[in-house]
Amino acid sequence: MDRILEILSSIRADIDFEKEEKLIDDGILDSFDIVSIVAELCAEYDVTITVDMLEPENFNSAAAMLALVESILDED
Amino acid sequence: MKLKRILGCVAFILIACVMMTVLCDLLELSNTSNFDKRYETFRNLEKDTVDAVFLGTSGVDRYWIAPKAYEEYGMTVYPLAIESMPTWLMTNVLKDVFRYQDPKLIMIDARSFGQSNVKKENMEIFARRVLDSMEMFSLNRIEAGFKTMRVIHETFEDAPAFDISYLLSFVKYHDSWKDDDYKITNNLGSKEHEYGGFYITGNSTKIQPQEVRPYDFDLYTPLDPVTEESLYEILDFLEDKDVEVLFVDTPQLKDDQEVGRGNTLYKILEERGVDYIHFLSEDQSESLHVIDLDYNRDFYDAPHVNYYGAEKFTDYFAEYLDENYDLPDRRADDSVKKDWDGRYDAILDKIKADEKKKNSANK
Amino acid sequence: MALNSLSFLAFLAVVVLVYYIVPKKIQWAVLLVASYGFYLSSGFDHVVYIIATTLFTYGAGRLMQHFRDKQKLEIAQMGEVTKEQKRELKKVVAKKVRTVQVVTVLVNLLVLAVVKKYVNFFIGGVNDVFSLFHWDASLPMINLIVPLGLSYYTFNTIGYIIDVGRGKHPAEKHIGKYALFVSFFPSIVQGPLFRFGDVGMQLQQPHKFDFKNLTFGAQLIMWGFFKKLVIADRVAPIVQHVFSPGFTDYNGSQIFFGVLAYSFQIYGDFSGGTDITRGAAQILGIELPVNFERPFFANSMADFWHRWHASLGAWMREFVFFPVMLCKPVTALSKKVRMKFGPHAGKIVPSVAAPFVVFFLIGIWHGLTWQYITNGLYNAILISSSVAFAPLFEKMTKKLHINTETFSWRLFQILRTFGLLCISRTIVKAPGIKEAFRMIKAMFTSFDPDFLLGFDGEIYTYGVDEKSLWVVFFAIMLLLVVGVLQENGMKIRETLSKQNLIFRWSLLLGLLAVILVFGAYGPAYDASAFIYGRF
Repeated sequence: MDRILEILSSIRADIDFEKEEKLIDDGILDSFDIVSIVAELCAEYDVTITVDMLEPENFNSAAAMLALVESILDED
Repeated sequence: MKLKRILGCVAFILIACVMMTVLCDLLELSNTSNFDKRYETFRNLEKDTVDAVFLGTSGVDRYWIAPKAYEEYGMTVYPLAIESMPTWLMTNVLKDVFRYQDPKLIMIDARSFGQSNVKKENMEIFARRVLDSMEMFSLNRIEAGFKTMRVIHETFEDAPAFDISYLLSFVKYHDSWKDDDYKITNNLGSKEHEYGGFYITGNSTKIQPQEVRPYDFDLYTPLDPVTEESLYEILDFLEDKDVEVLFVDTPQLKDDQEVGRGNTLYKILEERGVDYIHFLSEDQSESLHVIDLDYNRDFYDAPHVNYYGAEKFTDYFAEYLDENYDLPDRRADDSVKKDWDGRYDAILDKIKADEKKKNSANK
Repeated sequence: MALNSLSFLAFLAVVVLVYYIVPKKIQWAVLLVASYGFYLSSGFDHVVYIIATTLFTYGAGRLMQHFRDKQKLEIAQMGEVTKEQKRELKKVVAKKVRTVQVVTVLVNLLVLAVVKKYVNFFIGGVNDVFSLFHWDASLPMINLIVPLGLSYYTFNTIGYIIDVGRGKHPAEKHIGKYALFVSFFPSIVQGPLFRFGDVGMQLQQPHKFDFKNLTFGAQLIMWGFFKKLVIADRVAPIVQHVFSPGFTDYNGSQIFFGVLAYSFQIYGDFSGGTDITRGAAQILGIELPVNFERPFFANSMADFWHRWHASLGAWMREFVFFPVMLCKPVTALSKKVRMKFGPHAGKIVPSVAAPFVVFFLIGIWHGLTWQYITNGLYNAILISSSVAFAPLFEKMTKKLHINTETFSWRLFQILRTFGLLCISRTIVKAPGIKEAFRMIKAMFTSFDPDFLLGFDGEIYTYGVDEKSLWVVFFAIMLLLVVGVLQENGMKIRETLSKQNLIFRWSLLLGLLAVILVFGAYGPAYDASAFIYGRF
């Protein structure tokens, strides 16, 4: 969890990722941020995140993103 | 709760309709000749007090000084005239007449039937004058609107078959606040026409000598198809009513087209056994001596008499009506008095004022 | 049938009445009949296209679904299978699905390109080459009628095909219900774009009559009419005047006046139409996506594109931007750059590239002309550079001690964005690309404040007289006041519904009166012609 928080705050230092639960629904992250996050996550965890995984519920919070990464790792 | 909501909706719609009516009134086109006022004044006359109605165009409103005839004979003969009233709307106007009054005699201006509908814009303008004068939300008005759309569309293919602004003139006039001479006060205030339907124009005191043209009684020109259809419609409509009918061709100098159409009209009227009166002879000036009209003094242009001509015409024609028709003397009737008394004085005052203005301008 | 017409309102009233009277089970059928009725009112030959697209994409969706279902069945029949086998099978099916998906999308786009005359752009190019070599040959241009809403339903169906391909939702089985998704009548004219998983599902569900939906929907429609009739259509003559090819008075203030008018015209027209659409849908109990969120208050170009035609933006993000950004070449490139030049550069490279793709597409979506392409490029450059130079800007504002939390800074940002937009609008609206550059140059080189302030009276000769201009001015003020209230989080209709009846009704009736009196509609007339005339 700490690892993911670190990645996120390196992209947007102005957001408290520990607390925010509606990063997408409330429009806190824009599409460029999402793409950067995806790129970072892919690099960090060595996974492939595809377009169809770009659901709001997968990116609304740090925990959700972690869950997404873990589920992909599980699949493999 | 549900009922309350429905009532609320109904109330809202009602208020919106009232607001709409007020807006329509305020944004109506104002016109210098007050035809809408003259029409509305007719509607507001005491019910069943008008014995004859003189329906027509500028061939009526500039000729017939109704208040003068009332002062002298006590006859109530209202000139229900709108400049260039289209013939296809005359039955609708007549329907309005019988809705408010129970006249014994209907007179119809013969010159309306000399018109030809060659310009789409004019057809629209002339029709709108009538439509705008009628009651805003009457069935008759709606019928007249549809009729106008049909007639114009049939005459000019490029005119739309349906144009809502003929039913709801607001659609066309809502922009009138943009006009330079639009004033909200124009449409406020009294809708009473103080000259009893007689129209005093800026030309009423103007004197323009006219050149006399010969009149050819053998010239026949077919009526405009719309006009002919309307003529039969009017005659049929009046046949069903218990009323005397007289077509009147008020004095004017006609061009060939109008001469030919006039003759055709008389022929049709003779066939149908309808009375008519005209003031024509082969030398157009001769017959006018009957009414003592003078082409050098009593006209302001070829188709119209000035006020002095109107005085002479009214003198003659009031006597004619008095002799030939049984029109009662209503001068003692209080309900008539309030509508008719003092109107002639108002006309005389206005003419005097206009003459004074003209004289001082000439000096 | 135009959205801002009396006949549309009458049509809507009849549809609503029938919609809430019939059994809930067949409400969708009422909408389908209404949609096709609405569509047919634009001409019989249009309907061929929409039916073809409906059938084609419906079939493609079913085919993809068929592959999926078969795969599931096979896995179930195989009983015990290893992960490996499962993955192998999935791969085969995914490939089939993908083929169908790509072919369908391409065919859809091809139809769009041919019908919207994009192809002519290339034919014209080929002909230019021919004439360059003095070859006596030319390819004929293809000129087909553009059916109503072609761009909108094409994009909606592409979205559907991609979503089914991605497995977001199963393909629709019922052809009628699917046809309704493609043709839903208020939004067929000018959007908003929507997704099958959202609006497509809403359209099939039963809807109970709701008084709030009725009043809120009606209010939204009224507001749309206000924007369209009182603002957009009133300033239209100015735009027509300034951007007509005959206009040569290239003084900066005149051009600016024209662009200003155009900005409000296009906003009033487009967002007003959307309001009418969304209001109509709301009365039917269907919530369409928001398309405009006060774009005049945008503080950057990126922000503007979130607020302007947002449903197209969302579509582009979902089906172009993300796929481009996450496709293998781009991620590989990004990885490489990151390794060499560090994380910021790694972020920049794709971020700079993607807007070019997106705005090129948005550009040609509007029309394949050099003006739209230039405008797309212009927007892409602005957005890419704002991403690329973001750290630089931050440093600058810090150095200059600018407090970015103030109203004045926000105002500066808004005006700056508006200025940038004016240039964008000029590029598109000028009679040609050359004229566009001349106009933009004029705006920066010559300015005549007397004109804009109306001192010399010339401003009233551009087709809109003084009185009308004042009406438009106050209408825009009202628009901005409402915008400020909304920006501050007020939900206008919610707040209004809590007010006293007298206040509420006066406000609504007042707005109605303003639309009726000051709206530009109906046949114009020449007042003088009514007063005079023969006899």
